[in-house]
Amino acid sequence: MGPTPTITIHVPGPLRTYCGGAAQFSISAHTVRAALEDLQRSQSALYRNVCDETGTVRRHLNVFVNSDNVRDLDGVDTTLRPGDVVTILPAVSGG
Amino acid sequence: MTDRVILTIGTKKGVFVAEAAKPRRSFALRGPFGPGVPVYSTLIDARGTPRIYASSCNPFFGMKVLRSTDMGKSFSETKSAPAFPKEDGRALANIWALEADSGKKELWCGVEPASLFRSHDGGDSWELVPGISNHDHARKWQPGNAAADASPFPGIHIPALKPERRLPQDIPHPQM
Repeated sequence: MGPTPTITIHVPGPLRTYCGGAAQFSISAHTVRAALEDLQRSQSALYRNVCDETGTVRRHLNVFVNSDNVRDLDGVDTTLRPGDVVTILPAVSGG
Repeated sequence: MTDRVILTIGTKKGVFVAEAAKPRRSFALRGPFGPGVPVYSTLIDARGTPRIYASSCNPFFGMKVLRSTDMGKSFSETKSAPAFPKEDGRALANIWALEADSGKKELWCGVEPASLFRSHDGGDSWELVPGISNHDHARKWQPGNAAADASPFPGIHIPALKPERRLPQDIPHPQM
């Protein structure tokens, strides 16, 4: 396994209050799972909004790596490459 | 100080606070607080420094407990919300009930899946009450008379703290 890639995490507006107002920040992680674990350590309040007590990404949140939902890739085991952008995106519905 | 009447109203759009003079001819409405997020339980805690609590049950970002120390002019999240230990395997799905206990900062919280939490510091930290939450049958309990749009999963809705707080019709009469 090579050097840990540095990626950018985009935070949705409603959650920025839990990370000091930051819209995005950079972390180093090989996978989405590792990125979430990093969040758990470094941004615990934000993490609790993204994942439940079991560590599962909340049901109505989507995690994208660049333009792909991780549900269509390898889930939280999706591999990250340098420069990837991970976006946490709440589901939208209406009618 | 003029006597005031305070009502809290939990809705799917947040919590509202209505205030009136004691004759209650008209109410001034404040809110919603926690806008856009369902509130299934509120508690006006008049012991000591008055506080108002509200459960804020966000289907996107999880459960929160809101607290007001200015009689509902503003609310903020408590330092933490009830949460199962990671090894438990359950995840909080809703907060259905908030109740005050005898201690000035003691609170009870009934949740879904059916479990009970307790706070000793006014909602800033919570501990699982294992006696009922880890009961052998707890994971098999069936829901009661839930509203049509409510969750079909069982929760603890009304912690009855002490016999004297039970409704009169709930107290069994001695057999004659």
